Formats: sequence, C-alpha cells, structure tokens
Amino acid sequence: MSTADARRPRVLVTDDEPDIRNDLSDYLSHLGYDVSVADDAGSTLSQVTETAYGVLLLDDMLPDENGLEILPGLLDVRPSMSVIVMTGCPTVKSVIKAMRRGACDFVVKPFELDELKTAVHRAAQRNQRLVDEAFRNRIDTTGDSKPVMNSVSYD
Amino acid sequence: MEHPSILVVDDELLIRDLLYDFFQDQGWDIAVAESGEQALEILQEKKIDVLLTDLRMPAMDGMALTGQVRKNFPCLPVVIMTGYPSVESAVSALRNKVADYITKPFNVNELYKRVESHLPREDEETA
Repeated sequence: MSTADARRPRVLVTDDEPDIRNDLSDYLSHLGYDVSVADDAGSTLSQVTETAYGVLLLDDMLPDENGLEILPGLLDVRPSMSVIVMTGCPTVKSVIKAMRRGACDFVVKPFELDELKTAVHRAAQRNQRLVDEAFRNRIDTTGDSKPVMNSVSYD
Repeated sequence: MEHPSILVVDDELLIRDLLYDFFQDQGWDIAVAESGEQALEILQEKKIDVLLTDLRMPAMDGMALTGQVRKNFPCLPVVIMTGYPSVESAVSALRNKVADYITKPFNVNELYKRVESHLPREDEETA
C-alpha cells in the first residue's frame, strides 16, 4: 500500500444485493475511500476482525443474520468504527434499535448519493475523532492492554 | 452515584408532575421545565446528569434544545420522548447524538430503565 493509500479512510460496504455493493463501492472509491465489500453477516464479522475499518455501511436485512443483531458484536471488535445502517424498510423501532446498538447514522434506500456522501464523510470524521481521542488518552480501543500505538491502526 | 440528577422538559403539566413524583420517589434530584428556554436557564444553574425532553413543544422543540445543549454541554446525555414518533425525527435524533428516543405513551418503569442506563458511570465521573 502506498503512503497515499494508507491515509484513505477504510470503508466496508455490507449488502447482499450485488448491484448495491458494486454501485456503492464504485461511488465511494471515486470519492477517495478505500472500499471493501461483504455480502453477509459472517463475512462482515471476519473482515472487521481482520481490518481496522473506519466506517461500515451495514444493510439490516442480510441472508444469514439481521444486521442490527450483529452490530454490538462488531463494535466490541472495533469500538471506534462508525456504523451507518441502511434499510429499505424503515420503522421507528428499527431506528431506535440502531441507536441503542451503537449506530451513528441510518439511511433509507433508495437514497440520494449526496446524502450518502455526507453520511460517510460525517462517519469518517467521527471515527477519526474517536481514534485521535483514544491515541491522546492512551486508551486501548481493542480491549486488551497493549499500548495504543500498537493497537490503533486506522491508517 | 448517590443522587443522580435529571432535568425533565415537557410542555404538558401532567407529564412533568408524573415524572417529578416518580423520579423523586427513586431518590433522584429532579428539576422540571415547561420549555426549552427554561431548560437552558436551569442547565446554567444546576448540575444535571441526564436531560429528558419532549420532542414537540411550542417555540424551541426538543431537537432545537438538543442542538443548544450540545454547544455548552457536549457530554450531557439527552433522551427524547415523543407522542408523535416518526422515522425522520428518530433519524434526526440519532444524527444529533441523542442517547435514546422513547415513544409515548410509555411505561414509566421502562422509561426509568432507559434513562438510568445513560447515567455517567462512576469511572467516567472521576476520570
């Protein structure tokens, strides 16, 4: 990875619909993000465990598990990751559930690309702020006792 | 936390009275306001651990109050309650870093559990 690539915020897009995954990946890559994709809950958890994503775009209806159900587990692994929940069937209850489970935003499909751009930008800023705070406070955001220099790997 | 404090903001007297009695019975230090403007004045005078506000109020609504509170008290947990829930207002609350969104009519014990869960932890207070 080049130095320029290392500074690009990492975004994971999880959606079981290939068209949405590909369109979002293309769009966000065009905006300068380092984008990966996942198509179900299991691969999302394994990718989040392996890589320090700053932002996760998470569809709520995944084939193996509901996205909102896996959200707390994902944030246990990456507490500073900003999660934007995406849904085609919004309800007040689902927004409240997303809020209580630690999502930072909620977007309703079909969405305008400008809305998504704003949401991802805001989410990336939030992640950077949390990573910076953790660095300053020497808090180990991964939950073990290693110094933050070793544990926070946003870049 | 020995005596947690809460500020309840609602333009309905019935709700203010109900919550005043309830939180007082639980041993909380409670203040009430009938408007967002009055709430901001109280926040300048008293230490408050949790702000519980109605969403739909004349003049300054709960979301506008949240915006004002964020400027001076960025870490104060804000819980919104509303009798007119909508996806739009819930998303707006989420984006404004509201800690919780509770729909009316509520079970007061459920509301209490939600509010209590947002109290600052002891280690956060002493940090």
